[in-house]
Amino acid sequence: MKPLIAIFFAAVLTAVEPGAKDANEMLRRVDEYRNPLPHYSVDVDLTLLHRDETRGFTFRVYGKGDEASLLQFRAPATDKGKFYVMLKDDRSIYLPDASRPIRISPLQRLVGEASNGDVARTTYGGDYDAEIGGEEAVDGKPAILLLLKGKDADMSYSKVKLWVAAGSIEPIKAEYYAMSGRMLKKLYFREFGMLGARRIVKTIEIQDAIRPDHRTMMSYSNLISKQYPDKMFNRNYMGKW
Amino acid sequence: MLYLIALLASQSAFAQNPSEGIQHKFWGSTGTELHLTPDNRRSPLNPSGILNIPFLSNSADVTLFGDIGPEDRKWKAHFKLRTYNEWSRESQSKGEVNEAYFSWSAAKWIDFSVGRRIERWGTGYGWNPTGVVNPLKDPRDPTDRRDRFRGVDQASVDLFVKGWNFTGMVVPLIPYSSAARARPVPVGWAARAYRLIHGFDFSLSASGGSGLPNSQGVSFSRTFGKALELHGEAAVFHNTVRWVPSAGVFHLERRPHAEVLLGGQYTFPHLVNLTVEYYHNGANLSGREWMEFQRLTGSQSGNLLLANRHFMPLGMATDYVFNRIAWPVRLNKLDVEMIAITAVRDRSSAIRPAIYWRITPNVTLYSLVTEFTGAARSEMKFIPIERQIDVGIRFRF
Repeated sequence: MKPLIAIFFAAVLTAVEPGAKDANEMLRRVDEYRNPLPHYSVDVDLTLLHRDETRGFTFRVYGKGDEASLLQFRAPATDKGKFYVMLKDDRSIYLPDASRPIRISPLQRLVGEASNGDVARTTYGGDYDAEIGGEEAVDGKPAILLLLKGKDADMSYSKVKLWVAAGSIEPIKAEYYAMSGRMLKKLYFREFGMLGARRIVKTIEIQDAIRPDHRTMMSYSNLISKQYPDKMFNRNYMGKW
Repeated sequence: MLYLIALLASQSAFAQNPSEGIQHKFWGSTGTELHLTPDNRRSPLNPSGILNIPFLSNSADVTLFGDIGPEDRKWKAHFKLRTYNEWSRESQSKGEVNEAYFSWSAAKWIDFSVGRRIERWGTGYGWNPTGVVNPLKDPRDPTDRRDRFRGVDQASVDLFVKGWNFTGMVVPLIPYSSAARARPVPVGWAARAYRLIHGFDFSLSASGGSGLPNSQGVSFSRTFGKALELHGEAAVFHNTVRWVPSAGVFHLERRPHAEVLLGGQYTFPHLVNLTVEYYHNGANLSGREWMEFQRLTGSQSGNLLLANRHFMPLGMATDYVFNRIAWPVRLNKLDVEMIAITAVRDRSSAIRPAIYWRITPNVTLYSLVTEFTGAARSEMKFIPIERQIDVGIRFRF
């Protein structure tokens, strides 16, 4: 009996694995559209569009693979001098007017509809496992639905539905869900640009799922490949360099 | 000082000179604050308004920060200059250098720094038992909204080895007045080892020498789930001395002691953030000593003078509880905050609601009201003002 069970599970596993592999391979390709560089710095402009109000924020993000990212607040002047560091799932913020770097939880938010992770993380692969959810048309164009599941239960968004273009695997839109299953926000990958010969995401629109008139535009520019020292991502080093 | 600040501020706020590879940036803030402090004539420290506390006062300041260094951050020169004017019955203006240091990154794993620098040790919100080199802060107002923090003079080295960050510094107490220059310069030292271990921010620290307490401490912080953060600090101090009331007089007493802080913060829906901390300071007055202190203030006028000198708000009881609730009513636009600090011994509290309104991205208008509640001869009712109302505006550039 035992060999039969082993053969059954082996058959199931070999049947499932290629799909998951394809999905994670697609996710890797999506990440290449978002940020193809393992070590980088990039400027991020956030524009809040709330009914009759518009506000701008500027950050520079320094990244080291999937493990570490550092966010430097550059504008407006009230936020200048602040830093936010994310080491896997450990997050700390440095406020010049506070007496020490503050450890913060994933729920605490930076600005507008963008969570800290939305700005600091430029890829999905480090945080999510993917599987294929089917094929659907988005705005009349064929698309593949990827279902992303958080690798860690403490992540800001437990599940993400991500639609990618059927041929190019370019990200089109995404829906972010809480553990309860409630949709929190929608992302639209609005604009693409070129980095050398490579096509990359340039502008993302983030829409609040409950209040659709609350939108945030997130634009990337000056993506540079550069390796930064580990100490830069140390919480005690924030504000010292 | 004012001229220098004005000259530097007139430069572009974030200028760069890429041709030489040296970047410089200047930023800062200016603001004014009105303070209303009606005196508390029922305070045993202020009978019949003897302290003659001014009802109205005003402060204004300009602070300028500057960073100069190459793009690869191999070295950096940083300064923080502040000039301010305090007005109550008379006006006083002053300029000060709150930070001025040079740091050099000799290799990826070692940095050197010399000059005056603001250090931020510890994990507590209201108090930092391990923050032996931190700027002084008031738990009723723990943020530095007026950019008043001032650094310590130091020469330090930072090592980054296998995920650890080791900091060692010497802290000379340099005499800046000519009268004190003839004496030898007392030199203290402080050291810290920090590492992120399985999600725990963990630090060990120690200090000693002249001018710094002889202490050893430990601090930690960690998040659990999506909304909870817990933190703590503990330190032992071996050579603390403190004025203590006993047998009808104040005398200086050597008081080795421990300080412990345990706290956490929880983020509720709508980003409402609650912080709760418990703080114990073994150097503060015991129940019997506090009763003696109360008795002393009711006796001779000489004792009243000494009692005023030795009364420290939030420094008389051994145990306090700190609560803070903050709610961004409109994110990056309107924030409300409530801080309440309670002395466990007599349940008296300092309660401080505040509102911050960002009129434009660079201008914030705010108001803080600190109210002292408790029984007639409780710690908070010893404070010689009834309440404090601060209304201010700050422009950041």
